[in-house]
Amino acid sequence: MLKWILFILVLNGSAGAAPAPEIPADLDKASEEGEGGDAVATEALEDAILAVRAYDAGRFDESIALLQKAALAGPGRGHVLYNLGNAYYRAGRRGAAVAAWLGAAQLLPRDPDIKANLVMAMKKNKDKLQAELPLPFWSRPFFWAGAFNHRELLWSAAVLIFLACLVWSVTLLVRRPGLPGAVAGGALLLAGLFIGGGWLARDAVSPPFGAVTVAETGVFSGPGAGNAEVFRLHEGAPVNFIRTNGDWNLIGISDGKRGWISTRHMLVFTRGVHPDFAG
Amino acid sequence: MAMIGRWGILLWAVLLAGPLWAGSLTGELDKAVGTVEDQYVYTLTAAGEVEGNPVFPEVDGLEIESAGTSTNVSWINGRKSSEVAYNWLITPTREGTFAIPALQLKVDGVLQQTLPLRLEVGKAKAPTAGISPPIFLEWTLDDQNLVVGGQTMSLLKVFSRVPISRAELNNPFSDAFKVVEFQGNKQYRKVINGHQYVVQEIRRVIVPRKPGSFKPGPYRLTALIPDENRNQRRNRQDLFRGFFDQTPRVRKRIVANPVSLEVRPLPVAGRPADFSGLVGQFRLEATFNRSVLKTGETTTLTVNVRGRGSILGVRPPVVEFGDGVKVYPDKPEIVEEVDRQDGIVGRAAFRYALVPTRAGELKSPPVRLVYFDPQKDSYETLTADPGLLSVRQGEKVQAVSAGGAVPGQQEVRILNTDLIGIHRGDRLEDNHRPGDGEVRLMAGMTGAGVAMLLFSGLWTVLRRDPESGRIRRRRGGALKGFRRSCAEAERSLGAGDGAAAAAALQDGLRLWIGDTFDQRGESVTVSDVQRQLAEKGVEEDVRRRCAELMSAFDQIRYGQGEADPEKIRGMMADLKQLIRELEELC
Repeated sequence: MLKWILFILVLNGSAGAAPAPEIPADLDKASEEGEGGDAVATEALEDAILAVRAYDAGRFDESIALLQKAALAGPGRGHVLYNLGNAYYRAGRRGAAVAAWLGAAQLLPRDPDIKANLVMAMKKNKDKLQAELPLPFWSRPFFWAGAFNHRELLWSAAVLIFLACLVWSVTLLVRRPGLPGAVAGGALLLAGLFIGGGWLARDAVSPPFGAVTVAETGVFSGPGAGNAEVFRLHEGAPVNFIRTNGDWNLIGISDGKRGWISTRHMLVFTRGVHPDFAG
Repeated sequence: MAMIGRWGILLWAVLLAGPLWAGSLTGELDKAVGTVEDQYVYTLTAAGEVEGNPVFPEVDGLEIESAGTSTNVSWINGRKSSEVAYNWLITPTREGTFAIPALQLKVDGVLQQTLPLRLEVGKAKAPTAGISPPIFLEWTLDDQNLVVGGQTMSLLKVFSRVPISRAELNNPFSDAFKVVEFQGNKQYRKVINGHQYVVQEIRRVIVPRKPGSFKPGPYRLTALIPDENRNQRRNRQDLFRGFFDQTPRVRKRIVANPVSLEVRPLPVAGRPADFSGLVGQFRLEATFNRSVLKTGETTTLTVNVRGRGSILGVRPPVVEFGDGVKVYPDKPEIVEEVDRQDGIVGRAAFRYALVPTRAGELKSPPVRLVYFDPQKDSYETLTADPGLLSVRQGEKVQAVSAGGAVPGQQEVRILNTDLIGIHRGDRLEDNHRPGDGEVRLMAGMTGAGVAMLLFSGLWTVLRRDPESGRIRRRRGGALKGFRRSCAEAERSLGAGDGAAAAAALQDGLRLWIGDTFDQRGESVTVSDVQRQLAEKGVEEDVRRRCAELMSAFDQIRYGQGEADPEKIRGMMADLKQLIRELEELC
């Protein structure tokens, strides 16, 4: 819903006060602070650089703490999340590593390093699951959207829509409007709207995935351990985060099963969910 | 009272007889005293209906083996009686007195048990002086002091002067030894103390896997042999012994002499880093299949290792030529055979496809192989020099390196898995989520585009002259009005009214001219038409044709004579052509 509102606002040219998409609620503060936000971003970068040094020295726990801090301050930094995944893995926390790499893959969907590490880590999983879901019927025309991040899609849509308006304006202003101008403007507008549709459909095409961070955990039919345990998952199992309810997350897995899992037993890096670094 | 006494006696008799009908369970040994060489048979007999199966308890020092069950059912005086006999073979593994506990079984619904039995097992009978045993074993090891990976030949000789059957021989070696069977064991005859024995050899090559002091075995041979005691009795009674070979047989177990084995670990001191893992005596050869070739061509280096000793698991020798030659190792061929004298004889062939990439005289360091020689008790190093490779510049070097199939190419082997390294530098600054500022910029850009479009549309609407719009609309409808006139003329022609058709066509022309040039069509004269067309730059020829057609329509419309329909059709066609040309010109 937020996306629809944002997209309409972008189209109408009045989205100045719209919040950034996919920024965890806690993290919005950093970017809304203006000048203070810049200072936070600089500090996050310094933390990321220090984390690299700690990683190189084999101090993985220290590297994790710094990268967590950097990830909280700069939630859009895919390379920081990737490094966090590596540090988790080196520290023996494979489930958290998979979650961090899946979060990084949302931001850097074409990065070969992330893919390679994910494949390597998920080969060690006990549960034979994929980090993808069957595409809903309506989103199939947008199958390509998973190869781009939100930023790329939104910029492409905005630029194409602007160009369409420009071409049509010029066509109207010349004394004798012609068909080629109208067609070119229409084509640009359609392309812009199609890419905008891809941005809207991206979460359906490439939904946010996290991973199980404990050796084994139960998944229940409702938000609470008093409900029936419907299946069990093991460390590193990729889970699609759907929504949260208190200390429980509703998740789906690639074979279509759904259930509730304790927030302490999984980690996901996505909009609206504070990364539980204690996982 | 007497009646009560009689019934009481009868009841007592019935109660007393009940247990007698409940069946019985008995256990017995075929003999209670014997030697360790003997085998004993325990028979459990159950008379009555049996429920379940009996279990023979474990007794330390005795090996128990089930020997089957037999059942006997009979009817006596209309009453059924059944008897089941369960047999076990008992083989003592040592001397001593053994207590066989009571066995339990439910017979005719009552749980019954046998009496415990006692079995006395004495020493094997020492060969009586001058009397040779009918069967005996002799076990030797070629070498009883080995190193791990070394080998020794185990030779078991089975001496027998009586026919034996159903022989079973155990494997006395534990998992601490690799045992390789020798195929082609010998059998021969030998006379001992005046008796002719058949000697069967059983050879096995033993390779210890770990160090320690071992006492393997012993070898135990279990077989059916003739019962000589009973044979002697039968000899006196049965003159026809041997005619039908009805010799009574007894199951005997013969134990070989024990042997011991000392296994030392391979010495750590002096062990080279490139020790191949081989233990024994070996030879090494290295040869090229051709030593003169061009760059890009292939030659094969074959390294042969052969000798006495187990060769499985040998580490391939390292072949290094440096940058000038690409080396592609092939799958090695490793074969082990067992020789009567040498034991395990192994040979391995390691092949390497070599592709020189530069011309010149190329030389590899000699191929090295380090093995441990138990006879010398030291590590030995073998070297083999395959010689020089004389390489000339080839013609198709580029083709090979550009993607041609390099001989000896193989799949990339995964040696290990690890992470791809972390990301560093400026990349850490990259933000892949649009920030607030960016979203505002995108929204502003899109909004600016839309505003620009709205402005352009508004500007276009506002700058447009309302009169010019009316003229444009009128002009846009001119052709439509002319078509309607043509349709009306067709209808008039169909009705045979040529004058009306001509009038319709002339009105249509006038309307088209009036709409096109924003004049009142009805009042358009030939001269008006000429003027308007001239102003539009229409050619003289077209203007003349137009004037002629208007005059012709006047003549038909207002003339006295009959109008020829065909002529009017022709004029209509000319008029349509004229209007088409004028549409393009104006």
